[in-house]
Amino acid sequence: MGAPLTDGAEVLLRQIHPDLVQDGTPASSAFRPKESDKNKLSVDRGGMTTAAAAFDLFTSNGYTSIAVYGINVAEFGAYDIPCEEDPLPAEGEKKANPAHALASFEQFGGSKQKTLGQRIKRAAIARGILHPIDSRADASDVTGDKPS
Amino acid sequence: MADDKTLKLRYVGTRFNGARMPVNVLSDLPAFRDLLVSFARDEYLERHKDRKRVPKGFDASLTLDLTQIEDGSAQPNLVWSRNLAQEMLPGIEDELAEIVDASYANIAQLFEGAAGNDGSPDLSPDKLRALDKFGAGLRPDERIELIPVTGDNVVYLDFERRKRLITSFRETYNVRLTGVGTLVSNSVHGHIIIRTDNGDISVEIDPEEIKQNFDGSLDQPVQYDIMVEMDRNERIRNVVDVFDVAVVDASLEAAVSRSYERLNELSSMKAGWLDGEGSAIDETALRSAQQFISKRAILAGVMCIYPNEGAGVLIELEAGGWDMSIEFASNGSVEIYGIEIDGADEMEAQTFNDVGDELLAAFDGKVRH
Repeated sequence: MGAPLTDGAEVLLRQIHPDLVQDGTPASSAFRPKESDKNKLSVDRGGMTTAAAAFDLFTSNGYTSIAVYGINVAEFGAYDIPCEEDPLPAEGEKKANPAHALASFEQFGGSKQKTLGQRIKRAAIARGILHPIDSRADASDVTGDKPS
Repeated sequence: MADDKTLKLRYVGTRFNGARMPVNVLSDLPAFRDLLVSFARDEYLERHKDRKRVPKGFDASLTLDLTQIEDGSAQPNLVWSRNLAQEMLPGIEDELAEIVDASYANIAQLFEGAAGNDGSPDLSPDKLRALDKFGAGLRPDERIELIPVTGDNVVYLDFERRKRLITSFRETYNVRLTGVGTLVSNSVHGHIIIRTDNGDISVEIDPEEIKQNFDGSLDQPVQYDIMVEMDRNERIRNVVDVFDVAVVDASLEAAVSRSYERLNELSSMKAGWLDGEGSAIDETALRSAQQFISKRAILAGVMCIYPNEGAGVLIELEAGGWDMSIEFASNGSVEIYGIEIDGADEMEAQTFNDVGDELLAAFDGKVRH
């Protein structure tokens, strides 16, 4: 287990798969761990990277994303979801991701994780898309967080 | 009964998946029976050249009962009852059983012949009448297969074969058209004109109904379900029968269409869609989701539809102050859960066997105040 993230204002960045977006609205399932995620949602620390850089690294490592949303540590904490550091080393052709972190849904069963996914999604939508790649949208990076 | 005969048709096409028979194709079944009876009369007279007519009770001895619809698309089983035949025509039930087999084989031969250039078949007026009804509701990507009583040579009738078969004998054929067009004219003298992909169709309607239901609705979408007489060049000659014609809410119709298109997109997703994870979306889940959309069409405009990693479908929407999620699984079960948008209340996940009244009541209980 990595060191806990304690700065409630730090925005954690979440990549959204294009199939989990319809008419600009992401699915709640994109904001909760998948079966293979072992109850931990993968995010990147806005205090260490920008939404655009996180997107570039994510996609250059072979994953797919259409948008980056953000939820801060305090918002996760409001639902008793602790967040922790989880830097990823380079592996094979995949580049290292020192900003990687996890939001832990471990203490909740599958059913509760689903409604938490709905809550987290609403918080993310309220903040707005942080890095749109759709040319029709505003392409600026609006996290407001500077990489350290 | 062991000596009864089961004649099996198989309807192939998306709307028949899961043993579903839309009610507007059920009229095929009596038409099929009429076709069988017509061939049976020919067969009987062929066997009894000394006779000019079939015996009294012959047609009634060839009753078919729909006993079940098996899965794989929809496979209606039509059973010929030997006991009933024995009651109607005592003593010749063995021969009748042979005649049923021979007639079924003759129908198969007729359909098979329509696939090639076998020339015009010799079709009596009663056979043409039956064919005008049988398969009239088929869409271009659908077919009706005849499962052979013996052997494995499956033959089928589809839209093209049926058209070729009937028009090889006469200029027009009947086809059932359903869809949504635009109302371009309504006359107090008793007809409306609907603009459709097949051209403008004039439909006779009672003047009083026009006044009540169509007045003031020019340029509005009209849902229609009609039987038309069409020529070889796909021109509509005449409206034969009207099953349903109604002005519909344009926005609702568009929202439902958009939802169905989205489900169609999901159906083409391949396994591994989620960066190597995520199963291909299961047909059962898609069908359940479609049922739900259809049953709550009023909310189709606010539904977002997504694939689920476990081969399912996820529908999400906001209504009645709730953010609701409905998950349709590959085994047909449906899970529903939600959160209050401006409050802390939550609906814990509940699972239902299907898109039935219980699920809809649970859903409505949250979104309708």
